[in-house]
Amino acid sequence: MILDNLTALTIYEVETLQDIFILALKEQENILLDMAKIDKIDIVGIQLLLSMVSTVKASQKTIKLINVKDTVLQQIKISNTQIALGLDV
Amino acid sequence: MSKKILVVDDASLIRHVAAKALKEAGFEAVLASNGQEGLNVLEQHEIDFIFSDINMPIMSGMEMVRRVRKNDKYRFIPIVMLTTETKMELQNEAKELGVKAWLVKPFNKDKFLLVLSKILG
Amino acid sequence: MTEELEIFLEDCDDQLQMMEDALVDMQSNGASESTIGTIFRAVHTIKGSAGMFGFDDIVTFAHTGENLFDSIRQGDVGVCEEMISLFLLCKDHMEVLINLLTEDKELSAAQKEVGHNLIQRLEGYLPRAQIKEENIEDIPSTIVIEAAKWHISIRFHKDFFTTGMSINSVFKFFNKVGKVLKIQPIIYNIPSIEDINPLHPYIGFEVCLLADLSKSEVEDIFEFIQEDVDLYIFLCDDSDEYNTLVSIRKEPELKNELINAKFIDEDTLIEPELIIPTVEEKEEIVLNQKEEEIVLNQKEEEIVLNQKEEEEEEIVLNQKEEEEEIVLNQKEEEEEIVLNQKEEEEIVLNKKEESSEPKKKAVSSLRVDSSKIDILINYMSEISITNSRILTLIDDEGSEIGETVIHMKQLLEFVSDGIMDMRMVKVGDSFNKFRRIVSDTAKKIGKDVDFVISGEDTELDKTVVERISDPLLHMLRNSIDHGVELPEDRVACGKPAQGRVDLRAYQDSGTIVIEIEDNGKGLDRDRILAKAIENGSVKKNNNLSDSEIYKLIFSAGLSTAETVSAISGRGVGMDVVKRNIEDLRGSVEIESTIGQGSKITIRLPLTLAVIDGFLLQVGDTKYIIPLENIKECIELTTIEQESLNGNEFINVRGEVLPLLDIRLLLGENKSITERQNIVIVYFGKKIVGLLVDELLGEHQTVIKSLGIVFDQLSGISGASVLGSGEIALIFDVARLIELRNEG
Repeated sequence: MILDNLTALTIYEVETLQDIFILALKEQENILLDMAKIDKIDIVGIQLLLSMVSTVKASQKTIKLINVKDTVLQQIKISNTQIALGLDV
Repeated sequence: MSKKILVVDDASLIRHVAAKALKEAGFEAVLASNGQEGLNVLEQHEIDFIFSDINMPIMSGMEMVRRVRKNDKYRFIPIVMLTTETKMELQNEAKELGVKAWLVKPFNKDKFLLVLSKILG
Repeated sequence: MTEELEIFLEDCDDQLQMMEDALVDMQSNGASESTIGTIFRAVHTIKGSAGMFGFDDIVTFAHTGENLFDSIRQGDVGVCEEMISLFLLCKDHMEVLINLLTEDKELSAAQKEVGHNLIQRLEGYLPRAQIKEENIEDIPSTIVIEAAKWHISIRFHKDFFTTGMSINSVFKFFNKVGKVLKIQPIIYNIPSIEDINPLHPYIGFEVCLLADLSKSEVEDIFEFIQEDVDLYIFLCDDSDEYNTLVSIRKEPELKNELINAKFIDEDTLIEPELIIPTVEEKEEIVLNQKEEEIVLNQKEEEIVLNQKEEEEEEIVLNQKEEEEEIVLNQKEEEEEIVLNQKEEEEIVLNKKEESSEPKKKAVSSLRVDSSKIDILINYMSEISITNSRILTLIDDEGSEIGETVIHMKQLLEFVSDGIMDMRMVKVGDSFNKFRRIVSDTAKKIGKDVDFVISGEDTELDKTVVERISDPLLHMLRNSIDHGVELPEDRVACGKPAQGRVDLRAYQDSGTIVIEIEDNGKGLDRDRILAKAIENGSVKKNNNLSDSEIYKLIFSAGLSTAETVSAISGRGVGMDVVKRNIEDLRGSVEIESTIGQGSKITIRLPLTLAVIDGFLLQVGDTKYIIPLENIKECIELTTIEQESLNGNEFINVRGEVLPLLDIRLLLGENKSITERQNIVIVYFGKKIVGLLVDELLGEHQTVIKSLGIVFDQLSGISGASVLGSGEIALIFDVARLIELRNEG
């Protein structure tokens, strides 16, 4: 899935994103989260991603974050959450 | 991309010092002299952070904060109130609006910069 | 000139004018709260504005003035005329400084000198402590803080995200002030995507930060988000703290998380169940420790005691009350009840499953604010007094009502014993806390010390334990710093390189004895004496015994250490130690052998509130002697009485005892009774005979403090209300013995 309409994954977007994620969880078996258009993330966004990742794993499905931009990855690394998000770094 | 900081204070002295410090620290400073001007700035710029005085003509800092918190576009902007005295009632009111950081005036440039780095990293 | 500078100068003019007006007013009408306030604000404002421009000359100068006026405002310093003229001079000097700014000129040497002189004169009025504090502030470069590895555990309150503040900024700031060695996100509390409120924080962090910062400086990093974060900060090398962390966070997964992220080894972490008695907060008393405390909550390792979070809330709620809590552990079978003394009671019921193994037992505990027990003790004593009063009113112990009252009295004793028992704690917990400090201290000064604790199970009143803790620590430090020699020196004297310091506690005839013994170099008798003569506390030609000389180390201002080290003090410690112990109705003695070590013996009463006393009469007043201090009573015949007249000693079965005539000492009237008695009392190893009138028998005594008014009353430690409503004064035997020996 591509996060089409979003360019950021911050506190302003998390509520919308939660709905998108719940829907994706119902419809898809294996989720590919294309982050190509996301160029801003904060800890609130990271927490939501973490929630999504663990929910997906618990339901025996898979999720992978792809095309993560450097600026976003940097933010993720500050909180050392890249491993929990399954990002190869 | 440097972060944009809005400084709202009717005292030109404060604005002057703050702007100087911000530039030195590599931030972009946007200045406003009352709450209304501050709101106007928010409409035109993508602001990362607000420093605001409380007692100002035309629109007080408190009223500005109230409106900021109601606007979906920028309701989660971090705000530090600049104040001369620490009045509990004001602080409590601000807390309810989600403003819990206070900087007591007068402050010098170094203190101001320290605050910035604590809040913005 | 910039617009800002103009504003500043105008403002300064106004402030200086206000200041001058106030000072002139002060000269003619004396200082008032409003004039002092005006001047303080004026100086403060000038300092603040000047600070924004970086006008350091003005800031420094104004700062000193501000300090002085703050002290005046607080009432620490009085205003005199000289001071007012000094302040007028200061005002003039500030004007000069500000005018120089207008003209954009530098300060001349003469003007600098004037400013310097004025600052010195201002400081002359400042209370000492403040100057000291200022000096420390002025020369921060000389204070070297060692780089410390801090563990910072972070959780967030629910508003944190919505204030817009960012934790990533804090992490970035960490890297500015030091080096982040580890950040472990704590993610197991994040709910599933369906259940999460995305605006609430569930995530947490465990961070290891290497930085040259003190704990408060680390806390300061969170200055602007402190309202919304829940922090637990400690030094990484303190493994005990990790146990505390695990227990306060109440997160069953945390232990493994910390191990997996390599904050600690598996071995370092105790099973949470066993944490309770060892890591108990200082404010807590754990009762029934004799019984094995195993809290087994089957599947969950949830610790319901140690609810740090609740505790904190509680403390906020009961700020006025003492922040003490008592945990009572009662052995009951089925339930675990935790009662928190806040507005809401929280009851956690963990039903024990029937299928569980017989070994497992749940401990029921009840947490009570210890001030409530104090109140209870007070009421208990009132009830006992009232009951005794009834007995005296009946005047017929044989009657049915008399018997009932006597039975009641016995029951009351059980109850009050029970209550008193709640206050008792084992000294072990408190002692074990010293281990780390001792080893740190020894390490810091390059000494090798084997620290041996014994008698951990000895029980003592909680208040006593708390209040004895600091004095003990001080004495332990002294033993390590001044007692135990450096390893090489020890070897040179033919001793093993490792020194030994013993900390012992045991019960001895109604008192608790705590001993600190080291096998170091012992006290240097001659040096102590020389020092005492030098500072005038002892005359040159004296006949002081060794033990009297050793006792001098407890007097103020005596430190014989050649180099004053940071560990043990500048002779300001031991006198405070002694006073603290005496305040607890205890005594302290010291023995020492050169080259072999010293031993400090502290004797403390078991409890502070109730004593078994012996009631007696001298003149018109009733007195009580604590039973534990009484060796024997001797009835004097009239002949003996006469032969004794004026004698200062008495011969008891061949032993000569010093005698103290209470009637003379306290100015009592001559007694109505013919007979006099001698009560032989002892404290530690000292014995004195007290000459009194009538012996009235044993009496359970609840000590009431006499208050400040009677503080000066030497030899009296308190009072007690008798059943008849009369007041009896309680002798402070240790003091009485001292009085006798002082003559």
